Amino acid sequence: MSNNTGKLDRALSSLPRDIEPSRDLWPSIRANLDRTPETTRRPALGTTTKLAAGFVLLVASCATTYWITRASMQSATATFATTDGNAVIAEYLRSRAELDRLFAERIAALPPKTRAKLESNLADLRRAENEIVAGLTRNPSDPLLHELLMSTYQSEAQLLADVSEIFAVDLPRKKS
Amino acid sequence: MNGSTAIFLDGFRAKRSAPAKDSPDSGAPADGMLVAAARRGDVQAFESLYRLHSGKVMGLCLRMTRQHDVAEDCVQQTFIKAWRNLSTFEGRSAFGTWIHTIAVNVVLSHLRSQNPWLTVSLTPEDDDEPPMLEDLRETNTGQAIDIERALMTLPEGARSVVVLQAVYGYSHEEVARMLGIAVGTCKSQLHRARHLLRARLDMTESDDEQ
Repeated sequence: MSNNTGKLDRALSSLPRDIEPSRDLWPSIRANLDRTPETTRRPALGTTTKLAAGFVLLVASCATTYWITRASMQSATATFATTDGNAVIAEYLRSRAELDRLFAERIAALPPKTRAKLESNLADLRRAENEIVAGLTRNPSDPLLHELLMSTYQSEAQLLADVSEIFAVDLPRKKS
Repeated sequence: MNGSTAIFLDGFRAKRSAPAKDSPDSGAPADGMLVAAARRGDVQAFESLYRLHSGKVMGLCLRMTRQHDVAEDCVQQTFIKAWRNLSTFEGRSAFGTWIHTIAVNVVLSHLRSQNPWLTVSLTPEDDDEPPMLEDLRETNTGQAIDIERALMTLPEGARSVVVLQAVYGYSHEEVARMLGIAVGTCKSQLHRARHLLRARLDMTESDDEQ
């Protein structure tokens, strides 16, 4: 135990250590005591969230395949991976309108500062995407740009999916 | 659970309403018997451990995560993990310290899994009061609320250290072990946290020494 004597330390150590949960958590804990590990209280994923999650997995898998095989089959594999990646991205872009709609719906109920921050983060990602796409127009075979684009789309999909999922749960608790 | 154990537990349940402040492991005398019973599969004993420690675990999780729902999830996961790992608890540290270590791991895992693009900063300029203050307001008043608000604006690393060290009374060595960092890092994070807190509370170094 530390020996604190300053005003700040006294103030900090005087804060209450106990804060009761807003509800009795024991029934949920009790229900999980006999189960195999799976403890996160999450709502069931919606179709759009599943789509985004699937995209994230697909991109991750494509990127991994791409980078593993690149060393041995550089040019041929790059062409294959790029084509494969383009198909994934095309599919994602087709579905993005629905994710955008959900995102706009979810953040509309959030406090202005939170909303502004999330919108700004999404705008940053999209600005990065546009710059990478512009770079790819000039250098279509640049593997680094392809990787960056995949990674940025992955971050975007994850953000849209997380907002849709997390704030769907929190929505009734938020102040408008 | 036999009758005498039940009476014993009831007594400690009653004591829980007035916890001692001088140690992070207050209530420890009850824990040994409860842990022994829980290790034999006594769920009621484990429930008593939950009742004894959930408030402190919740306080810790809430201050580290700053989100009420997330903190409650972390509390649940902490106790579920504790139950599953009771056989590994050797009693070398107090049960309170052990369960706080699990809670810190659960919170850190959660924080590491967060999407960085989803992070919403809670700077002092924010007009909207973070929702966790509503929970803290029930138990705090005046200056304490100012301190809680200042705590919430600290960067994650510094906040975790100051919460464990200054609020929950763990030593540098204990905090370093819980957070998986070097003792030197712990000390520098605490120094940084104190500097930021003083600035946010308009407190000079000489004020702090009084």
